[in-house]
Amino acid sequence: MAEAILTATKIDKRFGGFIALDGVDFTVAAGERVGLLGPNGSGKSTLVNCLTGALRNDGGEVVLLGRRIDRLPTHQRIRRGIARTFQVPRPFASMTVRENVEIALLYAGGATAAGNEAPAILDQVGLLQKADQSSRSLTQVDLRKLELARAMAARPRLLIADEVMAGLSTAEVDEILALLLRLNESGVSIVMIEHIMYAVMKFAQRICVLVAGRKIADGDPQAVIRDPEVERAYLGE
Amino acid sequence: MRRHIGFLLAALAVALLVYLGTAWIGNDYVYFAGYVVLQYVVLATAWNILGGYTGYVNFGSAAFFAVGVYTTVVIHKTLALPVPAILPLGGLLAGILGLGMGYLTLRLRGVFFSIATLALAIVLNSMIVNWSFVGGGRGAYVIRPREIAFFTSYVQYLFVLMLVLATLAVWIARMVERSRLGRGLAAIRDDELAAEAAGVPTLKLKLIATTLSGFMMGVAGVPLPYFVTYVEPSGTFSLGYAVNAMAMPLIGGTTSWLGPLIGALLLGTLQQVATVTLSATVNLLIVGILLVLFVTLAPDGILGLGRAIVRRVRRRDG
Ligand SMILES: Nc1ncnc2c1ncn2[C@@H]1O[C@H](COP(=O)(O)OP(=O)(O)OP(=O)(O)O)[C@@H](O)[C@H]1O
Ligand SMILES: [Mg+2]
Repeated sequence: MAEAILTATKIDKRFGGFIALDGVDFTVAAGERVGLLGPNGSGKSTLVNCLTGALRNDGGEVVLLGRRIDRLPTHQRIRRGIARTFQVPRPFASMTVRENVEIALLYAGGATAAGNEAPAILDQVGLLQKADQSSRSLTQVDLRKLELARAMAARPRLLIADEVMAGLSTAEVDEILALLLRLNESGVSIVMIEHIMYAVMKFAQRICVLVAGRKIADGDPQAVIRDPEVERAYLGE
Repeated sequence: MRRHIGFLLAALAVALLVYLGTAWIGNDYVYFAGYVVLQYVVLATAWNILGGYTGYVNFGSAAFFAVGVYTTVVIHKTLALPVPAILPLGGLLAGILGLGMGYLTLRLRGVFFSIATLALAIVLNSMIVNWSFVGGGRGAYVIRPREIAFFTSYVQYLFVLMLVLATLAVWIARMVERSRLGRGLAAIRDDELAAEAAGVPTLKLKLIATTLSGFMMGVAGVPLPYFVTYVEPSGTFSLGYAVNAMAMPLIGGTTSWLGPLIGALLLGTLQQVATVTLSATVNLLIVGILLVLFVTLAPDGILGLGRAIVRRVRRRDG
């Protein structure tokens, strides 16, 4: 196996008395495509938040490219190569679509001037036509594409896409899938959180399953979805 | 940088025209009124860097302004430096206060930050009241020189000084707005968490904003003792400064350097006229009513109204 780009070990996260993550181990190898599955409320987004710094983990550690990052502020983690999308989109509402992307280019993507790179990225996610619209005017679906564009603009080594395909048509899902595959071919590791099973099965080389804050399966996609414990978690007893 | 220099030259040219206009009128009252209006241009522009660009509403403008004012009082009683030499000093001290306040309060969000800034002004006020060297609660006289070279009166000199300061303040604000820094501040204003996730070092940028904003407010206060010749805490920390510094950008429009400029010129002039024709006490009433009207009916200020009209006209024509 290729060397690990991200290694998270024994991640704990509590909200008051509620245990959202319970000793979760999570690794991503360089160039790998990982699917992260789990029922609603199982802790997927919370794990992303702990990896990227939107939340502080209560226990465990996160190592990115050989350096511990779990006490760094978010922007430093992003600059070290880990980018994420927000499941509930968080656009910069006073800015146009293009300007949203330019912020990430300027502050994380190593662009010296937010010049010509934004249109190329917007073209890839299919938002080029709307580049000069206010991000306030976008639909939920377009806002998810904008999330993806902004994460790509940070030029990450590892991109975590938290349900960017929710609400997309089948054709659009295939478009985004193709985009993520191209991105992966250029060397970016990708973690995909998705409820759209066929997309995950088509995309992932490995699948992790979280249930109630614990990792219950991790491995080959075909084997994982046939795992009785996974079936039980998804279909009930 | 070239386009910024171009703007500065244009702004200085406008300032020169203003100067020539007032010199042609040649009435000291114009200098008195003009000074006050220009002082508000600096204050409103400074407030807007934190309040408008960054989205952190500062209720404590008077504190930063007062640091500049009392720097001058202290220098006047000790080294007796000329006003231009006190400017950087007062600015620096107010900037440091801004930095310190930022460190202590920027982790607070929204209304809690604003309350903390209000508390800062109250704390500073009571410190000055109990500091007898600068006159304490009774105040201190600052006698200005009878005359000054190149100017017909000392008030004209202070007016020209404030004219230059206002020009520089607007220039700086416009430069910030169009820089990488300004874009980062706008991202913070829109969504701080998303800004971090886009690589924006939010804490650092907010500290730059509080420091710069504080610096400029401090500078605005430095010439005041020589202008009024008598300073006391209740005047320096009066509600007027804090309310105007905030109301002027909000009424003019907070997203651009033009907003505070328009707001300060408009409200500042209106208040000067009201002081003469009605009374000084109706000033704040006028500002208060306008503020309520704008915040409820036109939250994007005069600039926002202007843009909406332009858009409508364009749509009708196109
Ligand atoms: N900031 C928070 N404060 C309190 N509880 C939270 C917080 N964030 C998440 N939770 C709780 O933690 C649990 C895990 O939430 P999380 O959003 O990580 O789930 P998820 O696996 O991403 O679910 P979904 O598929 O619906 O997105 C949920 O029970 C949620 O209510
Ligand atoms: Mg989630």
